[in-house]
Amino acid sequence: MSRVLNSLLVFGLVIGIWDQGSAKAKAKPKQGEAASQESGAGSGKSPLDQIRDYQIRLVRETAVSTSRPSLAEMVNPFPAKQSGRLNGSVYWFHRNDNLDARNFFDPGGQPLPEYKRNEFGASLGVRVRDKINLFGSLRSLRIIKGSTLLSHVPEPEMKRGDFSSLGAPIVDPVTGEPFPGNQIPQSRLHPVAENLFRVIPDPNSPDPDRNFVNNQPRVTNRDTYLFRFDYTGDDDARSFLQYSLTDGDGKLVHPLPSFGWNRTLRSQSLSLSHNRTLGTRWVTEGSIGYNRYLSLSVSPNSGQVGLVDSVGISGLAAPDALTEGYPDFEVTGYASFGDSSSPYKWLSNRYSASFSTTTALGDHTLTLGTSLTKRQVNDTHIEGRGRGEFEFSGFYTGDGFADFVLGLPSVASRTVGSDRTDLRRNQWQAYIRDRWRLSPILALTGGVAYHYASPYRSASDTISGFFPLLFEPPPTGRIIVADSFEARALGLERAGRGGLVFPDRNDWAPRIGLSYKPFRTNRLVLRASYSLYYSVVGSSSFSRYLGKNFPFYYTERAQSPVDSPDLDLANPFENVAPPELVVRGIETGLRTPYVQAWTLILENDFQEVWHLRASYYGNKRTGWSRVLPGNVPLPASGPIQSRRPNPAFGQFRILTGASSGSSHRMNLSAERRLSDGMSLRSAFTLLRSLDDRYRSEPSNPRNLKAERAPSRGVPIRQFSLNYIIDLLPGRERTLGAEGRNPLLQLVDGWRLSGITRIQDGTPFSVFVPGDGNNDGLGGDRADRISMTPSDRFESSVDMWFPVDDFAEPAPYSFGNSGRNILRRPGFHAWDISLIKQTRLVNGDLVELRVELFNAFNQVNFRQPNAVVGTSLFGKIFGAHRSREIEVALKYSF
Amino acid sequence: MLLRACLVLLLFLSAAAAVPDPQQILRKDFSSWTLSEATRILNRSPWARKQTYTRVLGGVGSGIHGEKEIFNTFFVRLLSAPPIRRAYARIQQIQNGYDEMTPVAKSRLDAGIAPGLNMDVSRWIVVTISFRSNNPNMELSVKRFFDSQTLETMRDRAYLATEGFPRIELAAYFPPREEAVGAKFVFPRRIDGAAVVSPDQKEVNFEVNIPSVYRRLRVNFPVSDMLVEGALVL
Repeated sequence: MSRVLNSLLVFGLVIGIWDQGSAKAKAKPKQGEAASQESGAGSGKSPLDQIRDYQIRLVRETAVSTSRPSLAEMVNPFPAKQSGRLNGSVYWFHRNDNLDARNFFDPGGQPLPEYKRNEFGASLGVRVRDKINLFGSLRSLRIIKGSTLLSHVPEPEMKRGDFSSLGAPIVDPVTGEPFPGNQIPQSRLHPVAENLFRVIPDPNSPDPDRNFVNNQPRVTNRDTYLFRFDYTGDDDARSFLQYSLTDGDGKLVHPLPSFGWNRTLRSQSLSLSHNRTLGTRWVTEGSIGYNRYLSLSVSPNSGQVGLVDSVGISGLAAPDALTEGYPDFEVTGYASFGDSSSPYKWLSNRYSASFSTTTALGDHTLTLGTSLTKRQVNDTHIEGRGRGEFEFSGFYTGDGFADFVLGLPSVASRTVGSDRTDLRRNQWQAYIRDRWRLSPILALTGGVAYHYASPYRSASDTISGFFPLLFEPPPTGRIIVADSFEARALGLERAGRGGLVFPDRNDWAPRIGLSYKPFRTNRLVLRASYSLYYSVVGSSSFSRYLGKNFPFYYTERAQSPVDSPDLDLANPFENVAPPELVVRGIETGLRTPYVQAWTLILENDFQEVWHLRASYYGNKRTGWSRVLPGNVPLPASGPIQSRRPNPAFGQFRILTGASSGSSHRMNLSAERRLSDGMSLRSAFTLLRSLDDRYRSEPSNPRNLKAERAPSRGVPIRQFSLNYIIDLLPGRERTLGAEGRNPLLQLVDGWRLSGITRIQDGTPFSVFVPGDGNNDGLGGDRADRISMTPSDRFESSVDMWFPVDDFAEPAPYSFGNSGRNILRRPGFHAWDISLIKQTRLVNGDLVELRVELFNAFNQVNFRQPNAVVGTSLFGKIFGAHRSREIEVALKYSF
Repeated sequence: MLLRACLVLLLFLSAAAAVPDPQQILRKDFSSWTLSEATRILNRSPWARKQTYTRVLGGVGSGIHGEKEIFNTFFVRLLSAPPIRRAYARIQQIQNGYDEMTPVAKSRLDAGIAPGLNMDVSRWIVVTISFRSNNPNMELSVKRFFDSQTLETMRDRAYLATEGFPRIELAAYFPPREEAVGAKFVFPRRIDGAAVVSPDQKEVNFEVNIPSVYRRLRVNFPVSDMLVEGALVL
């Protein structure tokens, strides 16, 4: 029987080879030039044709036992996956709180916050006649995570006016004398505050500073579907189609349980690409794509019609059920509360098309390309501040919550109108690149690209901006609506329909680089490059600074002087007449921000598997956007509005392209490619980055040079290590037969992998609470009055830096401390995975893995409190994750 | 317990060492090679290199379709070297049950595989590249790259180098027709009458720039290892 089968197989093989030869004889020779020189071989095929046609595929391969790997898999054994005609996998990754270590701040003696994370999915791929590849996958994520959110809430008796536990006298702002017994009389408790006590929980933790812990679970549900189709035609053309859909919802938690956010996410993406080889010199590719993204986030209090009215603050409104909720309250020294950022809605569409072609011309390889992108941002709401925002800084009584109890806000603001914006932008670019091989050891690359990104324009004629942008002295101007008669009269029609920012048509981006092998060896290579590239200002900036202005949407802001309260919480917007009008705008001549980057890299291979690399990366960032506040009074006592250079307006918030910065990065890395079952890559980096890009407001808007400082989020030193180690290396695992030995099955297939990250802390600034110098701007930094040497100070969780080095500045003055002068705690974590792979008899693979994140349970603290003058100053209230364990099971076939 | 662990380790090491050295394998007629010996020639021999670039995906979650350690492996072989073609031929024999065949069936199969085995490479050095990855996107991306290239576009990306010839130009390029063999890069054996590789040289380098994986793949074949009974087999 076996002889018959063998004969059939041989017959099939021979027929198959003959058949393939015939097919190839009909095929157009791809390498016409070279092949034509090779005619006349005795077999009828030139040697190059023989090389081209060499293949070992067996026509009857499927008749061979399916327990064996395919021929391709036998000759290309692969460590982690086996693929066949139909291949795929199913997997499940699981974590829960039973497997986790206790976070540094988790209260002792209590169960850990609830945590269940399940991620499961499947993928399936099939190749049809070597021409079509189909691939589909599903990935589902389900998370219930009880976080440890720490905050400081008032003691229960404080809600009754009893501040005797505070330890500091509460001043009666009416008399200027302390309240007797630190007790605010019941009759003085503000009715609005009493209304809101219900959403302020009582302490539930003995820690005097972090006396409330919220362990409510955060919920995430997300499903992602992907389908891909690849087709390779006979005519050297390849096509590719991919569609993906992500659908999700979830719940985010606020430090106080009455608040939070319910989130919905839906994202779709479709792309089609076609690639074709033309003749022997041209490779062309064209693609089109479409993306749609929707994100909606609303408070759980949304939909409760009449809620904002029930609070008792006049002048507030929620135009529809979706925007219902509580106003925002910021109380210095205590947890903030309110339904901030609800609703948040972001709906965007992106259409794109691109084309590129590459050709070889002698020693040159030339690439030309172009792309077009159309972006739409529709029905967007990103603030939800119509319900009002109120700050209680403790200016009047000495305690923020006592100010709240008395109903004495230092700042009250509200927004009026609709913040819906419908924005449009077109982007276009064309480029040419050349790689010129000057000699066997020297190659140059060069190119230039032209970018054009139109400023965002409104499709619904609802944007306006402040114009002209004159700041000092005296700042003046008008709010101009796009496309209005005024806009045309001022020459703003250059911005195009629905726009207020002139297009920047000067975005040329050159690049040049070289590759040099100094010792005529391939092992050592020197590379250097210079490039310039652009980074366009995003839609959120346009939405925020042009889409939220009078008369469509604006903020009214009332601020009480620091020395005399003149706002009443029940009626905060009527005591100041007229309400302060905050206006925003974008510099009409805003240039596209750009980066000049240069690199120098020396890399060397040695001992076959090692790759060493020393590199320097530098860049200079120019024209980056930041918000410049205008119409700001000098620090002084008394009402702010009347002191403004132009009292007819409130603060101007103008987005300008005046920010700049530079970065330098030195990196040493070593990589060992996988060999003998081990691979690793380690890198050490020294970084230095400076910029003048303050977060939202400068400390002193008249001295912006003082804002130049180390960049936020950038450490000085970083080290990383990642590795994969087969614990018992040396065996090819895909050959099947010997894998059936149970003993070998047990000891074989163990693998260790991991990532280690160690880095210094990133910088932060020390601020004073509220608007300490009474100039209408937050962001006031503290005074640094001394500098304790680091060797005389030991950091602890209750005092991370010498708090006595800082103090509140003298009244109505700027603090002398710089931006980002302190560094938060560093970060150090080892993530380690232990993996066991077992090959089944039929060649399928089962993988079991245990992953330990922060395996050695290193405590990585978050940034300490950096607001001087409160009892919380210098203390740390959170830590990054403790050791967490994930287990996973995967079956590949 | 320790003794048991040592025994297991010993057993394992001995199993790993059971496959003989490539030079020993070559002393036998290829029709008597075992499957392990044939795959050894194709993957760990002087004429074959396997380069695996790894990437560990950090963080919680399932990575890319459940894969958190990404292996991008290039199989680079000197197809012009007879041992590689013999190994391919032997695998075809084994796959077809050659050892149990009748003499007639054997001769039929021999005739089927002979053209490949006796391919005329007297003027050419042929390097092949296959690629496998557990990241399906990467695998398709690299496949599309190799599929879409021509001699002219690949000429600037791939070359062979020896001590006397720092850059030996590509003479022909053939996109992959099957996964087992992969893309074929053809280089001349002689330039202006001089052999590009001679037994006294140190190594032959093959380099190709593959943008899909942002990698410069560089492989060295030590010449001394490719000497079989004093003759250069390439």
